[in-house]
Amino acid sequence: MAFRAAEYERYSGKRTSRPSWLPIAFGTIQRGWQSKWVRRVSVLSLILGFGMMAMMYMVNQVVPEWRSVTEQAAKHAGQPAFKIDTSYYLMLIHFFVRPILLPLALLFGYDLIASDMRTNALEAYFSRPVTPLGYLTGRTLAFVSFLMLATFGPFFLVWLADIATAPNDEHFSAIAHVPVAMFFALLIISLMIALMVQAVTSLTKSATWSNLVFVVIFLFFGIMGPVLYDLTDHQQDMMAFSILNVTKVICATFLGVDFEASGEHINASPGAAFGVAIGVSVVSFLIIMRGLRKRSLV
Amino acid sequence: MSAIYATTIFSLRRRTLGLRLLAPIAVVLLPTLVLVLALAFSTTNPALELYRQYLVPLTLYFVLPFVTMFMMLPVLSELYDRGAIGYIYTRPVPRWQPLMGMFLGGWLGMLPVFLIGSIVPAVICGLAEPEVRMSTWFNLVFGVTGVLAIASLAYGAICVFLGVWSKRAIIHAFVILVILGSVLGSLPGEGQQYSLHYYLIGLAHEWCGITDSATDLFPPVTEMPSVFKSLMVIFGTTIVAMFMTSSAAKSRDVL
Amino acid sequence: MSEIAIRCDNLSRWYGEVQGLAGLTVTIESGIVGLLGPNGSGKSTLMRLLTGQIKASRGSVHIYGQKITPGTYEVFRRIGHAPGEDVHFESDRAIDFLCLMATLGGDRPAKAKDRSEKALQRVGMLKKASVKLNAMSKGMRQRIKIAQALLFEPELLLLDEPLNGMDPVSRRQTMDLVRDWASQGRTVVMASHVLHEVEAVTDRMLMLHHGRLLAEGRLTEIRDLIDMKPRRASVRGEDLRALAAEMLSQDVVAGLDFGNDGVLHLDTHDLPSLLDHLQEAGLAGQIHSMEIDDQELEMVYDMLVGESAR
Repeated sequence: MAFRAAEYERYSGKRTSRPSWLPIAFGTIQRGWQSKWVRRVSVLSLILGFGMMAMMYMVNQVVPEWRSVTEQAAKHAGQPAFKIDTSYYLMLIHFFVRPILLPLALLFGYDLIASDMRTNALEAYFSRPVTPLGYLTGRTLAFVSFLMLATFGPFFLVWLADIATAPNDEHFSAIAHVPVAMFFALLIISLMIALMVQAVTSLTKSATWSNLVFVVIFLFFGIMGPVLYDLTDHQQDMMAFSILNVTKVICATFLGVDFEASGEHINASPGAAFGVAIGVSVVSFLIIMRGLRKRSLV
Repeated sequence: MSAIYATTIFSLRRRTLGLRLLAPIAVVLLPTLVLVLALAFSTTNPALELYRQYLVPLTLYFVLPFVTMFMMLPVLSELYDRGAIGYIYTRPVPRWQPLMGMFLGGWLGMLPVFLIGSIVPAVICGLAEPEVRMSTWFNLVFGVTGVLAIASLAYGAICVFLGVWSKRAIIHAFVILVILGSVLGSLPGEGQQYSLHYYLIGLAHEWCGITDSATDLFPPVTEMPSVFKSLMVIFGTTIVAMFMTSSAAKSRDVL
Repeated sequence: MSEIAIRCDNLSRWYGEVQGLAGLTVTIESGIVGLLGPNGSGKSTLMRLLTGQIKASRGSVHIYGQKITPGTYEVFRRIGHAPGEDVHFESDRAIDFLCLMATLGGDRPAKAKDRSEKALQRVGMLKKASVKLNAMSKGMRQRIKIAQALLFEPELLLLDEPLNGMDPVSRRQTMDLVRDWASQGRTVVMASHVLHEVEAVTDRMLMLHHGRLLAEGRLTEIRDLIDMKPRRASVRGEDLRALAAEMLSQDVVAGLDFGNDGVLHLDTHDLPSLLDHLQEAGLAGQIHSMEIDDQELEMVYDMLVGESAR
């Protein structure tokens, strides 16, 4: 009987031209969408956008001059004039962005890499022609897609209604850049969150621990930003400890909102906010790649 | 009783060996990080006041519930999740004994974490403000560690109960320890008396001499609970939670 | 007459709408009893009910006369249980895991260590005592599970799929161990979904299907049932028509047909003889590949379910 050495032979035949991260991204999106709560959070956010869109349209049908009427009413009441401008869109992040990030991290992100580690699925992925970078790209793309759907989606709907009911060209030109600005701002934020969440889930197999770490990052650092601002004799950049403030500053920078002019001083500087976003993303990327490479033969 | 001892050792080893303590230690040192930043960038806050008015309230408000959740929720819930609890429940001992052992092991595992969380900032503050007497720092460290150790008995027992009773223990623990605990306990009004956090503040007030907070996390109470009352509430909660754990262990299926 | 080890009266368990076990009434005395059934038939549910890990939805279970409910513990001195799930104390060494189990049984640490070593010796794992469970193969962990079940020399041994993941040598050793255990007047209940595993250690069986007791009795009766029904071999190769003619002439084939994809299906009541003939044909280069249906248990279920339906 002839014996042959049972050594691994690398596949050298033709590989499919389809990028390996594509099925991973689709699979992850499918998995996310199968989760009842992920669906609910995403749809709820879109419904909020639809609601505001419908309200603007209906108000515009009943009172076509509603913009000037609300402006006058606020003036009479001694309030700052209500105007739909870039500051208004920035204010919308309190509805469409801030409440979404933590729930989606908890519901969708908590198990992204951890479950693959627990079930040894990572080894199965890497035994196919999938590289760690391809795997990470697929997972990140899926998570970013969900975050963008739930955050940018409602923004875009409100903007559509605003444009459709724009009273004049001046208003149109003032808000024309909003979707592009918000798209890129939210893309940076989503990317940072997606990488950070995956970095945490690549460090532990436990979903409970991942979730606790997310809560610590969002809540503790959320509280710590203003506390540090107070404790350090009002050092503005201490606000960059708060992920939520970083989100706000990045959006404001892209929208071109001037905090100085609006009298809002308790915010990190754009440099600090972008520095945190880039720093968190790079460190997270390195953590994930280190974790994945340990499990990969590629 | 050997069952309690054996599971205590087992649980303690499981909670503390390897890198398992890294995350709780990181959480417990987060206020210290902020303290260091405050010391570095502020000229108006003396170190002792920062420790008293900022670090202790924040540790009670934030660190205690999260470290307890990190360390005590998995004590039994991970055995349930993996089906390993069946091995323990099919031993010829009443279920409360291994449950008690697992709880004690987890609690003992938390003590060094709390000690680190109170000693490290005290050392940093001591270096920043050398004129403060050493005995002041010792009293503060012992006081804070004591409050955390006693508080974690009740918080830990609640976590152990939730780990047995609920499949979504983390959500329930968050609601009970953070929302009904820290948040309700630090809000002004009658409601704070129904929160464990209020009684921890009572202990911190008596044992660490803390009367105010730089973070609005200490409620503006006119009447602090006495040490006796606080201890009764905390120990009472621990005993009730452990009874409930024992009862939940009999009613939950091992699947 | 020997003491009744297990008595189940109308024992039922539902998981929501899903029926895990329905109306099981059975008594088990000393000796080995095979608990046969495919996946999802209710074997593990029965094991969990016997050990008080889950509550019965209806009916009761008594072990050595004591009613079992969640929280029962005294009777566990007389029971050893190796569950179907993997050992999940992965960061522990084998000896530590066993010592924990022994201490939970009331031993002092020194006594627990002694007892654990004896149990490891019994399953042939003493040399691996210091190896962590997560560094062991599945077969090794199976043996550790059995060792923890044997710690207190139990009168009733409950083994849920004990041979899963074991190599042939370990299987044989484990089967010997089970036979030896029962020969001393003790009771062993061994759950499996593989007929020949159970057949190798006992002739008595309970057969579960969809949570119901489908059959109870001797395996020889099952074997007779199997032998009544022809076994099928599927052969691929060259000149299958000539092979078919040759097989028919040998008088071992009860029937044959050609499949769509060039496969010759041969039915026989005498599988060993057919295999001998096919081996000769294989050596002559006539056969490229061959498959024998090994779904004996499924066949029995089909027959029994069919009969009960009729």
